[in-house]
Amino acid sequence: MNVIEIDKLTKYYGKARGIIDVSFSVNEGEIYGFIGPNGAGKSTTIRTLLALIYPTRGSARIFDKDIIKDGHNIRKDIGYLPSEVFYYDNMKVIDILKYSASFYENIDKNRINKLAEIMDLDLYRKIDDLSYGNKKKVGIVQGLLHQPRLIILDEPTSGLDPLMQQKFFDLILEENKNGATVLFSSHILSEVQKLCSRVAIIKEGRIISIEDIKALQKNNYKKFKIDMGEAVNDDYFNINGVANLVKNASVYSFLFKGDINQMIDKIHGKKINNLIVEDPSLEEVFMHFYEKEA
Amino acid sequence: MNILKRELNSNLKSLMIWSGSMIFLIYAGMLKYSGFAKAGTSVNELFNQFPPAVRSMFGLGELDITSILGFYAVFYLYFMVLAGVHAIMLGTVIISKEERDKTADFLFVKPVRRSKIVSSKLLATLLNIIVFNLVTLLASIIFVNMYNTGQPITDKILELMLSLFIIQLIFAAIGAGIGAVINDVKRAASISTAILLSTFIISVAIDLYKKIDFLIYLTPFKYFPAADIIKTSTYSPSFLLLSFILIISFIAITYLFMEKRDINI
Amino acid sequence: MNIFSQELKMSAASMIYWTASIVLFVLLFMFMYPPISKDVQVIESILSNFPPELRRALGMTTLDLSQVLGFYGFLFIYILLIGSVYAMKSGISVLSEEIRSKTADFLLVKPVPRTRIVSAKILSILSNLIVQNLLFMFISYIIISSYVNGSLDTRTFILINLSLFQVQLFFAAVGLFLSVLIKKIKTVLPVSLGVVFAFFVIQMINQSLNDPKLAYITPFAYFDVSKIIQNVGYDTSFLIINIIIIFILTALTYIIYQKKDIPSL
Repeated sequence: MNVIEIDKLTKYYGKARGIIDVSFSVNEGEIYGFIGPNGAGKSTTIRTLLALIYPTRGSARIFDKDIIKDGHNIRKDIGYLPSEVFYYDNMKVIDILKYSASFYENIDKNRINKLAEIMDLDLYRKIDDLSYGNKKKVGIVQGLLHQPRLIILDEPTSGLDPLMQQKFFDLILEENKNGATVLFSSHILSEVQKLCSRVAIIKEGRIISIEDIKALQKNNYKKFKIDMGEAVNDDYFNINGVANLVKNASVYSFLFKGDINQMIDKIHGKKINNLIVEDPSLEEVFMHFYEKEA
Repeated sequence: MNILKRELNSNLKSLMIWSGSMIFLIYAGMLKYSGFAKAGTSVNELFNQFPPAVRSMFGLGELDITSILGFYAVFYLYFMVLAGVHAIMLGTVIISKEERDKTADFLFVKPVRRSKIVSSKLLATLLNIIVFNLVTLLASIIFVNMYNTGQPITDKILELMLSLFIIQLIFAAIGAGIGAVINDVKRAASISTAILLSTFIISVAIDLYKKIDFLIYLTPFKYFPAADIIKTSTYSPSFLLLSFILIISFIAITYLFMEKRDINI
Repeated sequence: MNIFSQELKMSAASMIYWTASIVLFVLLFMFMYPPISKDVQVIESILSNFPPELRRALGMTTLDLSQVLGFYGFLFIYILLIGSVYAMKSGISVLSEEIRSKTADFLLVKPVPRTRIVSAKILSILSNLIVQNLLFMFISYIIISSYVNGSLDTRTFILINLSLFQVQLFFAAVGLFLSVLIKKIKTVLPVSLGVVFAFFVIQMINQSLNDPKLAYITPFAYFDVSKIIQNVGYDTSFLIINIIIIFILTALTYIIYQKKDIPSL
């Protein structure tokens, strides 16, 4: 079953582009990455899913219910962590958590303590006096305390130290193991690489690709770095399947997708000082996507 | 229930300041009545010789300012303006503040219909207004009775207070409607300020110059003249109806626009 | 200098709107002057025989509405009201806006002492008020002159108008002081409206009762227009009190802001 199903979702802010014809679906139990540069439309998509803003065109369903018509019912089972968290003044951490809990049925009160312990959060301090990172932790606990079936994370890790990030990822993975589906928006690829099985790539408001992360990384591309011992034409390596070709003095580096023998043939008979062939990092693959589409 | 409690909590301080100010103003006003009444006995006769046009020009109409009731009614006019400020700002801010406070992402992703959020907020507004009116009413009854040497006038004060309540409801509804339509609390508050100042100024203009009293419909401050209430103990049915229509339409606007609104922080 | 010009840029539009609204107010109300003055001339002759208590009770002590300046003086109470809301709003927002819009972390880490930030911002309010007053005085002079047969008493006219500037300074100083005193002011206009109207109503009560103690509370009484017209001058003691209050509040603003904790994002 698809937990999220988005069909040609379009949002314009007046005349300004928000997102255009965004479609993708997220399976139950999946951790789905949603990635793109700043301003690409990640938050717009997420805020539309949460019915914080209304689509200009298109539709989306969560738990097989319409996001607009059944919004309030859907939200019973969604935990949302916005990129920036702000809370009511003059409240202690525990107050905001209790207030948040009051919106859901059957809340396990012990869960607040348990989550706070994991995230190392002092429940009796004033929200106003918390650091940015600690506010973020409040957001995490607040978003997870009702054991949501769908967790939506919008750039969740900014402001958390590496140790906390790890704890946070462990927490998300555990929730995922217990059956929660996760939509994880980020512009930090290593995060996505660590957690997600699939990823939708958004750029300038449009989904430009939906990829299986492992396939993307393992099977397709090889990264070549060749230090030539003799002069060749600048375009020598620019054959079909080559991307991001950069020449730096005598060193040529590029990504290659295709029959590896083709490339071996190219090098064959040439004088070479050094040769490195490796799996590209996800970053490099994505940089390739962004540049290709630009 | 939870939202209502939260709203009541966050408005408590402002409600206390408002209530305190009202008590002080009523006290300060009535404190001087006794001295004033003495000086006024001869004035009263002269006052009665006034042509009606003059009296209405001074915004007094049929009020006998030397009686404690007339004296109180003059203050009532000012309370009405303050009550208007309180109500329209309360309504505007309570509806539109979540985006300013960046708490919209917290509240609006909770599993509640937007209409329920709006209902809770409007209910909180209503309760605030009720408390404001009760405080004003009690303070009026206590301080007026302290200096009243003649007939008891508590029932008249009650009648005046009821019209104050209706006027507050109108302004609160207008404020809420503006808060819902304009999605920036600063601009919403500016527009509410402009509306409040305009209605006040129009009521002054009508006092000054009778020929423009067709403008009366534009200013709730003139819907229930204190003098009429004191004389007849009734409210004009047409203005009651108009008030009712205004309140209902602005509340409907509030629900409609909040339902359709994009939440941006 | 950069802070100052940035402030001016951000506040210019608002200053123009508020100036336009008081100009519009004068323009509209002066339309009513010719018909009213005819009515009033008759009344004035009766009124002048009345004992002062009554005239005071009517709240129009010595304003002669049949004279242009008397009428203008009557209007000026409301101009003071609107102008004060603007001044108070500017005073509150100029320092607290940074905290509300979360730009405090930007500005306060720049290599400028806080006192200079305060000075630049206060200077920007001052310039806005000066420009507003000059513009308003100039335009209203043209409007008023067109209703005068013969020559306008320029000295009185200027004295009346300068009272606006001084009352505005009072409220700007109160606003500045409140904005550094209170940890977080969330909405500027409700607070401004509330405070200014409260002072206004105190003045209304004071006018009816002529209570010297009440007069000290409200700046509207420091510059009682009817007295300015009568004496062609200000009441020196009130003039000094106003200056002292403005000075103290401004000094406190500097001192408190110097030590104020800026809340994190």
